[in-house]
Amino acid sequence: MKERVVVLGSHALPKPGNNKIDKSFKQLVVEACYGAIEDAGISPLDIEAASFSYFGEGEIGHGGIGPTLVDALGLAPIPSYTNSANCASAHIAFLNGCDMVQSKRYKYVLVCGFDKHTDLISLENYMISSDSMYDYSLGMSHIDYLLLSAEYFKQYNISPAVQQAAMVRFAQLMRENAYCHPIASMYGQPVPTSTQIENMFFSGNVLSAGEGASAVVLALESIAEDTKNPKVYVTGTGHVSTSQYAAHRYHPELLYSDQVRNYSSNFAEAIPLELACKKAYEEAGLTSDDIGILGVYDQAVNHFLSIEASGICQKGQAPQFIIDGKGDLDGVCAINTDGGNIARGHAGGGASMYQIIEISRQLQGRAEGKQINSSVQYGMSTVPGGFYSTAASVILSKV
Amino acid sequence: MSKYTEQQANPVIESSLRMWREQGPLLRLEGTVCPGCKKKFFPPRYVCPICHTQEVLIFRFSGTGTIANVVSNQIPQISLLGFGEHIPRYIATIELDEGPVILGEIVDVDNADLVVKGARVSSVFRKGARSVNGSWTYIYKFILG
Repeated sequence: MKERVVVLGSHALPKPGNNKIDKSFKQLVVEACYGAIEDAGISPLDIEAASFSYFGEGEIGHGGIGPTLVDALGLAPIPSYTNSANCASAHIAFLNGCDMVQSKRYKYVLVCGFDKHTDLISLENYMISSDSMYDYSLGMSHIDYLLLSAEYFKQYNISPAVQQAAMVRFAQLMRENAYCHPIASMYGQPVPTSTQIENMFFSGNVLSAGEGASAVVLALESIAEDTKNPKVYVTGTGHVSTSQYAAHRYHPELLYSDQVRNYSSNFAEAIPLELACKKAYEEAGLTSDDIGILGVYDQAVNHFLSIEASGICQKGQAPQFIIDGKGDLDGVCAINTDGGNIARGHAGGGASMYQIIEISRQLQGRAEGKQINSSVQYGMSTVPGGFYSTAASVILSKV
Repeated sequence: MSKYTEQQANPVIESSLRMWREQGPLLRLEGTVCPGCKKKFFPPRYVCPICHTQEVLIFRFSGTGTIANVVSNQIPQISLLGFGEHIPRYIATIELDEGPVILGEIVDVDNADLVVKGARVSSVFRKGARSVNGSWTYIYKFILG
């Protein structure tokens, strides 16, 4: 049995839904990483390796990001690994970091995800989240995938009234959570009325893209005996890679193992994420009933698909789950307690680490926004990247 | 002027080679077929994910199929992509008669009410977006019928 990984320290830069034109990506990373190292209560010299995530060289206009950041951090010559897996990048860096400490080659591993998209103005950087040849070159991009997600409502025969109520309530919930959370881009901003949200594009369910960085320090449980902060453990992980070509979602026989090739599949289900969550539950020896706080990728209807993929509710039931308040801070399972991509903000390459940090801090009892009930022992962070081409799930616990 | 002062700060040149290399799939709707399990693929695959042979063959699809899902895109954002003059656009998932589901645009639409799930479509050859290097790209699209 693998020894558990502990999240020793964490730090997320505020307002990831805003651009930071006065700071370079190096500055963002240094600020986040040194915040996490300080929070962990260790010296920078203790860091033995690093894992970084971003949206790729094509977005920031800079290559060799591993050595570049190790040097910027003053940590050379430690080894570093980098990945770019669209919106799932930071989760993949986190999983990579867990594997690194579990290999026992490194005692303390620094993991950081960041985003900087205003140095190269690529007009439509969403091309990196689709198959650039067979989706993007035909003029199809993120926005079309959002619209195709209407298939979700059709598949489960969800009435227009329930659709509208669920979308409005979710958009409001994210803004309510962000209102009290100093990291969130919408921190302190009055929550719009239902009528105002109804008039927004996608009823206010669109992420706030911006720039930021988020970092954690990881170590094995045996290394981290005396920790500065209450311990939070990584008890289960799941990671699935399928296909960047969106229409492959209709062909589960091409993407999945024999056990699941019989899945029906289209845009209404998040099967890759469901598989990632299943792996995480198996590794943790837990079920969805154990999860009291959930981090999801919120945009269009992806939060509904993600809640269902985590097993927190049945397929087609997430809209009613939200309407009934079961995803509220004091509900059955608190969803995106920092406001999520919609109201906290979405700094692509580091975005999903914000979720992990928020859940970690909630479980540690040191939430920066509203604190969830102390009886919650387990949290799960899930994320899709590139329209579910990458899917990852992390279960965190305080026991 | 020194040649160094003429250096571009961020020289990005979009090559035509990729479009040339992909002309079979993009212009003739050519995918691949596995000679073993007979599974057909689009975009082309170079190994069959079912039986894992690399001996796949080029297969030209008929171009006829059925709309599995469709949306009408009227969002100005797409003007950034070089498709601004084509609003509204109908983006669909299309189940080809030979099996694969692919993404495609429905064009030459006179009556939007006919662009629905289940409608029959056939592929046509159309102008795509303009490349950064100034040349036009040409790709498959679909019309009703």
